[in-house]
Amino acid sequence: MANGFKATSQQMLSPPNKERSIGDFLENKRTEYHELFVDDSVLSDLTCFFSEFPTGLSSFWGFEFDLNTHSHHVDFLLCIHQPDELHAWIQNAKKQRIVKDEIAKGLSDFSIKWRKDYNYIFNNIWFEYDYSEIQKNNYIPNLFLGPKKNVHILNLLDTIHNVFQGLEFKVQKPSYKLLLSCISKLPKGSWVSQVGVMHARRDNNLRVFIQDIPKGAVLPYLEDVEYPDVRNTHVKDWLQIAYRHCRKVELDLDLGVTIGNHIGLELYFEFMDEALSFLKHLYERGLCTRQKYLSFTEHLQTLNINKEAGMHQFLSHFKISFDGVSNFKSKAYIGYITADQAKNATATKPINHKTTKQ
Amino acid sequence: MADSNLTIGDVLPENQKDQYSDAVLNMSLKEAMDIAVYNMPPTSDLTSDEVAQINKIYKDYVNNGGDGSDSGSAYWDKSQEENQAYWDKQ
Repeated sequence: MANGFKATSQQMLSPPNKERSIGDFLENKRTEYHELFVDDSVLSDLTCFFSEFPTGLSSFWGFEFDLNTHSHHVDFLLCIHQPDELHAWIQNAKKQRIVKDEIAKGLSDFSIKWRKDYNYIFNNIWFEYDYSEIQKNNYIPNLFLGPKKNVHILNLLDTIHNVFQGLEFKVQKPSYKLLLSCISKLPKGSWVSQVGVMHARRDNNLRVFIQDIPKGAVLPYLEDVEYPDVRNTHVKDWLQIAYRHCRKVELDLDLGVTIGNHIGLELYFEFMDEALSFLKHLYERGLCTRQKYLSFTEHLQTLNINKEAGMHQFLSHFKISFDGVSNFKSKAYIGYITADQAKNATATKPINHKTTKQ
Repeated sequence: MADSNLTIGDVLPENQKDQYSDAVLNMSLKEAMDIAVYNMPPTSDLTSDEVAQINKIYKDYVNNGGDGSDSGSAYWDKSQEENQAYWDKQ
């Protein structure tokens, strides 16, 4: 793995004395989700790459599928909420030489501080891996920090700056000024759930994720923070569609020297039939291929809450992103979470929820 | 991990900066919080008016949104009771 060798999925399964990995899990549970993958070699690449990640590192991870293209590629995200697990992983990654020294040092220092000082600031962190980087065995993630709601903004800014500086991310100071502006102008009830840098994409902007913006408050908020395409009719159109179908919208913004044109709308649903209705709408609007529409529609209907399962598969959300010109993309996020946490992180109730007491 | 060198002047909106002295604007966020939260003495000579300015900036900005409370959950912002009510809804 570390030197670029790619084993077959059978070859790479952990030996008996090695802790089970996420790669092992993906291989063992392949029949549960493989119909979503257009190309088996993509799944084999993921299985191989994530053999370096013990299952104890993350109890919540998942796939990011493009819906509107025929692309076979699938990105991968994992949430880490235990500093000790992060620390152990990064020590191993250093030993295996699969991450650069400055990233290893930055993450190691972060994991140590997260045990104590940062424990009051962050709930979790996220690693995101683009498939193009997985193919290159690049273990440097796009990194997102998940702050708590009760942390003071100035403390949050100072800490985030400190962490990213320690990782040698080249975020410019105006991005932090925009972050302060975005947080201080949040509509009542909304909050920042993640602040990150797409470092593996060589992007130095901050990306901020805003949760629970009340319906009707998104456009005034975008105007308030001076999002450049606030008057774009397509953005307004998709917002209206989103609110018709879904329970809540999360907003993603890029913060550079100014607020970027890219915008992401993450759409969370209360019931699976609402999610399926939205998927159909994506298909009818040309934002989901026929093949993916059919396979996802069939698959999503099979999901269930299974308390007996060690890991529980669920639909997290759909996402519409706009590049600021005219191009929209759509994505689906399907993940696994430990059964005991399933109801804490899942918004979409399975198709049989209305007829079966959960 | 070295301390952050982000200053108040780095993050405040331009249209607010003329309310504050250079000494305040050049102060690191960490030192400003030490003064505002822990009532620690400044490391440089600041007037009582400048210390009051720092306290004002701290009070003008609050927490990271929501209602300011945190469920402590690694993933979800709802309390266990709210979450159960959500799942009980058919």
